[in-house]
Order: sequence, then C-alpha cells, then structure tokens
Amino acid sequence: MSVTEPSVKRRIRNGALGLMSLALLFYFGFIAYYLYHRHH
Amino acid sequence: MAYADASHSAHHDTDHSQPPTGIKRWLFATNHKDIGTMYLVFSLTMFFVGGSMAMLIRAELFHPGLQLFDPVFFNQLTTNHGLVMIFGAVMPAFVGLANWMIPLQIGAPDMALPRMNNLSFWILPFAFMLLLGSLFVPGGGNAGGWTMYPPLSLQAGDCFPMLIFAVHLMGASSIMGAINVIVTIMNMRAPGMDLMKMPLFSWSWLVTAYLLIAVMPVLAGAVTMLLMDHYFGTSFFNPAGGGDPVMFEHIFWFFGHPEVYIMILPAFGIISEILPTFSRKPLFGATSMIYAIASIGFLSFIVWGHHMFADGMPVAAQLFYMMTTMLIAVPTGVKIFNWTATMWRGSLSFEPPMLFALAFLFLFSIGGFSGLMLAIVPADFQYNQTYFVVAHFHYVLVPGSVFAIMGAVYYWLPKWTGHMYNMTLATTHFWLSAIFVNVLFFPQHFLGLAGMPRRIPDYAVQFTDWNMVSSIGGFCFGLSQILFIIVIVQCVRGGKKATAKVWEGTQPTGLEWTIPSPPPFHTFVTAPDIK
Repeated sequence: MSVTEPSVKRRIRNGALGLMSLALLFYFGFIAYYLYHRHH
Repeated sequence: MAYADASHSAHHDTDHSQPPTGIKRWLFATNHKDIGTMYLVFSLTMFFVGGSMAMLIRAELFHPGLQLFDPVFFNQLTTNHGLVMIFGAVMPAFVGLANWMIPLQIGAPDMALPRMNNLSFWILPFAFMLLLGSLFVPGGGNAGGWTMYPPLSLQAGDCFPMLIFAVHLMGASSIMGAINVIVTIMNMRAPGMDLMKMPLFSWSWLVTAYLLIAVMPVLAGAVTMLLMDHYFGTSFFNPAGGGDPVMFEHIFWFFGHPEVYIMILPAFGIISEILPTFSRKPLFGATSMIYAIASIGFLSFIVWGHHMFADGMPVAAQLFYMMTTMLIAVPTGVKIFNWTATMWRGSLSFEPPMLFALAFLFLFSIGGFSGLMLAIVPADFQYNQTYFVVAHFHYVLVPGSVFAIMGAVYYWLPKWTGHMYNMTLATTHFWLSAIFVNVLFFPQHFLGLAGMPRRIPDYAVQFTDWNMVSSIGGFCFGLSQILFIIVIVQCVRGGKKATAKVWEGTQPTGLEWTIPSPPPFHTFVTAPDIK
C-alpha cells in the first residue's frame, strides 16, 4: 500500500474532512445547544 | 510481534533525498521529523517561560505579605503559568513526540497530511506571541485564572481578545494535529501492522486524538461566547443580562476534564514503551492496556461535574460524578498493575528513561490517590479551592506528564540524534528533579489540608514554614532543568555513536529500532515487512 495510490489518497482526504466536520459540529453544536437551553 | 529488518528500505531512502538547507527547511517543513523537532524545541522553550512564571510565584509566596508584586500581577502570573504550561509546554511536547514517533512506529513514510502538519505547528508561535503579548498591554494580562470563568474574566481589558484569539489558534492547531494523527494511523500503517499489533505509544495517541477532536471545539465555542458577551452585548454567561455563569463552567469542564487525559494518556503510552525495554520483558497484558486507555478516554467525558461540586448541584448529580470519577481508578489500576507485573522478575536496569518511568509510577500514583480523595463529595467541599488541589494536579502533571516527556526524550534522543548522551549528567538531572519535585509539591498537601487557599499572593503566618520549603523545592527543581538543556545540547552536538537498537542488551520492540540512528531524512518509503 502506498500513499500515492488514489484509493489511499481518497481515504485520507475523506477521513480528514469527516473529522473536521465532526469538530465543526461540536463547535457550533454546543453554541446551538446553549442557545436552545437559554430559550426553553 | 516480529519485524523483518527494515534497514534496507531505510538505507535506500537516503539515496534520493536530503533535507533542504537554511531557514526554508524549518519554515516550509513537511517532514514529520523536522516538524516533531520544532514542536519539541517550542515546548521546551515554553516549559522555561512557564517555569520562570512559577519561580516568580514561589518567590512571592516565600514569605507572607506582599514582597515583589501587586496582587493583580500575581494573578496574571498564575493565569498565564497555567495556560503556557498546558497549551505551550505539555501538549506541544506530546504532539512533537507523536510527529517523530508515530510514522516510525507504524512504518509510514510521513504523516498523512504534511502541509497541514506544518500549518498546525506554525500557528503556535503566533498564538503564544498573542498570549504573552497580552501581559504588556495597558491594564496588564488576564488575571481570571486559566479557566477563564465569567463574570470575572469578562472584567479584563485589552488583553481579553488576545487571550480568546490565542485560545482559538491553539485549539485549531490541536485539532489539525489530531486529525493528522488519526488519518495517519488509520490509513498508513505498514501492511501486517494490525491495530492490535501497534505500539502502545501510537495507541495512546489514537485515543488522545479522538478526545482532542471532541473537546477542543467545545472550548472554542465557550470562549467564542465569552467574546460575544464582552464585545457584542450578548449575555450567554453574564448574569447581569440574564446569562448563566455556571453553564460556562459546565461547558469549560466538558472540555477541561478530557483535557486532563489528553495530557496523561500519551504519557501512559510512553511508560508502556520504556518499562518493557528496561525490564527485558514484553509488556504484561498489552491488550488490556489498550482497552484500559480506551476506557479512560470514554470515562473522561462523563466526570466533568467533579470540578464543580462546590457550585451546588443535585445530590443525584453529585453521586453520579463521584461514582464515575472513582470508576476511572479501575482502568488506571489495571495499568499500574500491568506495569508492575511487567517489571516482576524482569532483568531491570536503571538508565535515565527507566528512572523517569519508575518515578512516574510512584509519583503519578500519589496524584491519582489525592484525585480519589477529591472525588469524595463531602471531602471535596473541604479541599475545594485549597492548596490540596494545587498539590494534586501538579503531582499528576509534573512527575506525571512532564516526567514521562523527559523519559521519552531520554529514551528516543539517541535514536533522533545518532549519539548517546552523558548518562551521568542525565542521571543527576533525574535525581535532582525527583527529589525537588517532592520538596516542591508534597508540602502543598499539608498547606491545603490546613486550609491555605489557592490563587493568593499573601497568606496567614501559620503557613510560612511549608511555603518556604515548597519555594526552595521550586527554585532547586527549576535550576535542575538547566541540566536537561545541557544533556540535550551536548547530545545533539556529538557523542558516542548510537546503534540502531540504541539500548544494547535489551529487546525493544517497535519498527523505530530497525532503522539506523539517526534515521535518514525519509524513512519507510518502501513499506517494511511485518511478520
């Protein structure tokens, strides 16, 4: 397996994007949760 | 686990690539070893910056009364000491070790995202320029504690947005580092390197990286809301506008407690590498060690309320947080048992890495036990906001995390530089550190139990004696660290040639010991064979 293989490159890119989305979800999610908590 | 000789591929790699020269090598670094080195140098620098602040704090506390500074500057020192040591010294040191060792341990040519790796490092100096620069703006630096609790932190002046931006940058850097670790481990392990065959240091980092991705954005969210409260008229946490400051504490500690494990799990991984090598035995219960790390990682998310017992919370919540906190002692106990069993009837030798690992075992356990005491709700009401808490977390972080980092540096330094270091000097560094870290922090238990509050520049005269002892321990511990610098600089400049295996007479496992010392600039371009 080499990092230059397209399938590995794709998995690395998708993995990084997925984890970044998870981080953004936590960031905005907590702010949204707090706003919801304040108003209900 | 058996590895075929990977030196062939390593030698082959030297033929086609040499490191770039000059400043460009570091500015545009994409090589995991160079970035690892930059992280480690940065961390060491911050260790001395934060350490200098600690020396000033201990100098002020040498006597009761106000000697050196006004109380506001004292509070700025404690706040920035905490932030610098956590985000500037301990975390970057572990990221540096991860950068150096994870690709070498899993047989990968580099980290999966080398350019992002460069960015995540170079963000850090700017973050700390902002943080440390905030000490020099009109009104001085932030003085509300590293926890930034509102409404106190909202009373800060021009330094406040600098702190918030610095925290955002540190968070972004950590998240990028964590993403890199996960995608590297999940996609770039050499063929045959199953997850369960992976060395414990890499395993501990895999769990740590998931913790980082889950909690650093939460901290960023909390400080974003603080910034909005300060400058945009919102009242997330400001009680004057109907906000809830206790909610900040919940959000902060949802980040803050896993953060504690972010600073100790890689240390567990390091100890799991060092002890078997110098016991000349395989790690006892390696699989259970992996499950213990994962369990600790999971439990770290459901214990945050133990930082807030004295805030007031329902009895059911107190019981929940008390029980879950105590539950962490189970996987931690598994680890301590397995490390002890690894040494049992081993052929031990006491080189500097082993000395640091042994000191970790004893002294981290002291911090663990005082943590159990603090987990007991009614007892915590007594200990809360006293020096007992300061003693507890310094035992976990200094002879815990910092000793593990020093042990790791002494373990892998000959691999990195290709030279053996001065063993006598390193052993002296160990003994001075191990003695004076106890002189520094053990009396703080007594001070706390006697009721001395934390975060104050002045105290009642009955606390004088133990404060003097603690300060003397602090100065001596601080001075001892100069030896660490001397050993490292000497080793980088030259010394007896280190072999590929470095620690002769031991059987260290891991791919890093199959490549030459120092390793070529590019390693494992051809994946090694793992049987």
